[in-house]
Amino acid sequence: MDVDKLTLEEAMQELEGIAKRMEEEDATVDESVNLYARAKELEKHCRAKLEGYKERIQVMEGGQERPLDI
Amino acid sequence: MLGDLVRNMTMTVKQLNDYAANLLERDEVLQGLLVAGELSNFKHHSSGHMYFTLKDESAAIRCVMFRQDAQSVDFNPADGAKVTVGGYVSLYRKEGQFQLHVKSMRLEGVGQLYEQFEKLKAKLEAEGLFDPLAKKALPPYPRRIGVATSRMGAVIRDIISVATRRNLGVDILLYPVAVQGQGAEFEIKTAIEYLDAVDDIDVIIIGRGGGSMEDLWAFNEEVLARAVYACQTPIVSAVGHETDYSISDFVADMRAPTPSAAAELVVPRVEEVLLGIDSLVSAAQGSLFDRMQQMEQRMGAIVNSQQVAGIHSRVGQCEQQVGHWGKLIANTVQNKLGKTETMLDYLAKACESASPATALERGYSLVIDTSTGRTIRSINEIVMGTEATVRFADGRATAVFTGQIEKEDA
Repeated sequence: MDVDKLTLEEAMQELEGIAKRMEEEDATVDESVNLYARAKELEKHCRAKLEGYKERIQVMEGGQERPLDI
Repeated sequence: MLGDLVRNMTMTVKQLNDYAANLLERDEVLQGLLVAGELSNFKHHSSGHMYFTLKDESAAIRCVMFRQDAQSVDFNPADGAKVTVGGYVSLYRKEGQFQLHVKSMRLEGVGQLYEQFEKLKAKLEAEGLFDPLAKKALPPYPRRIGVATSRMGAVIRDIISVATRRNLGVDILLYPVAVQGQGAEFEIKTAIEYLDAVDDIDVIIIGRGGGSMEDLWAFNEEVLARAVYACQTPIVSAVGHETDYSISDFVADMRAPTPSAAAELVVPRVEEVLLGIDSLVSAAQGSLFDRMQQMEQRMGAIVNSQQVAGIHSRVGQCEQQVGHWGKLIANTVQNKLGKTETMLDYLAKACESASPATALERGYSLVIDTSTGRTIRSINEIVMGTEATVRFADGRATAVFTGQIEKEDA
């Protein structure tokens, strides 16, 4: 799946899966190299996601979501 | 008769109070009774005695509870608390104060609520609403957090402060509700149902700050418990202080001891997420290195294996042989060359001694027929009167054959 479309959670999950798979005895060198390349992509994506989070705080008012003033 | 007597005499104040006190102390009803009311003007004196007023909507009575009795009170009495006290009526003679002498005191209402709480808890537990297996895991990285609480309360304030402190701007949707009072449980239920249906809300927090058991009661209502159980989105219950347990705490997927703990549970820490990413990537890198190192080791093992060692030793042997033969050939060639050189020397010398020039130098001369240019080798070749060239070592001269030919036998 295209890395850019993953949520942070999905990307982290895939990253965990890759790290786990790469630890297994039967992973070939070719597979490991490909997985590592994918892991680097996922890492980049996760970092971008974290930076992109906006702190949107909203409140339900009169049946509508509005920004909440604290 | 007695009435008439008393009407005509003058009493001291003390006599009056003694008389009234005696009357009160002799009354069976007044000497052992329970009175329900609300505490006010409560004072716990340094001596250990408690002084307070017990009141209801239309009346009040002064009360005293002495130290030895006050020690048995198992809660912190305060103004406004609804209590039932046991004791007897007396008159404080010094001031003519009619008062209740309290021997025991228990908190009213809560006792009844507590019983209700235990009953509902047992019932819901039996139905499986607290089953640990039915509890959903909290999402590690929620996109948006739904919060059902009071707009002004501790819960939303703590969540926002934790989220800000953690430097990870998670999105929050507050659904404001009343968290105490009549019908609060229905408002909270509606909020849960709304937030559960919002697509990008990954976790819900319900709760309120600390308060009395009555204040927290909405969270002990069956209707709310069932709404929490029915909620598809993981739900965290954070009601009151650490020591307060509510029914919603038991039904929720997770109980947070306080509202700020709820926020800590739900809002991921950005540093932790980054650390997680780092450790996963470096684990992957480590695995890759290990794999490559294994390959290198395998290649090393092949190079050092028996077969390869055999090839090496055979190559060595061949090299030795080649060296050996090479030397042999070189020696032979050297020998042959040496011999050839000697031979050449000899031949050169032989040639030299055979050369006509050498003979001429020794005194011989060469006779050449001038007309033909050929060397005359025999007396028979001579024709009288013809010219011949005689060659010496240092020049030549022309001669003419004359006279007689004398032939010698060989």
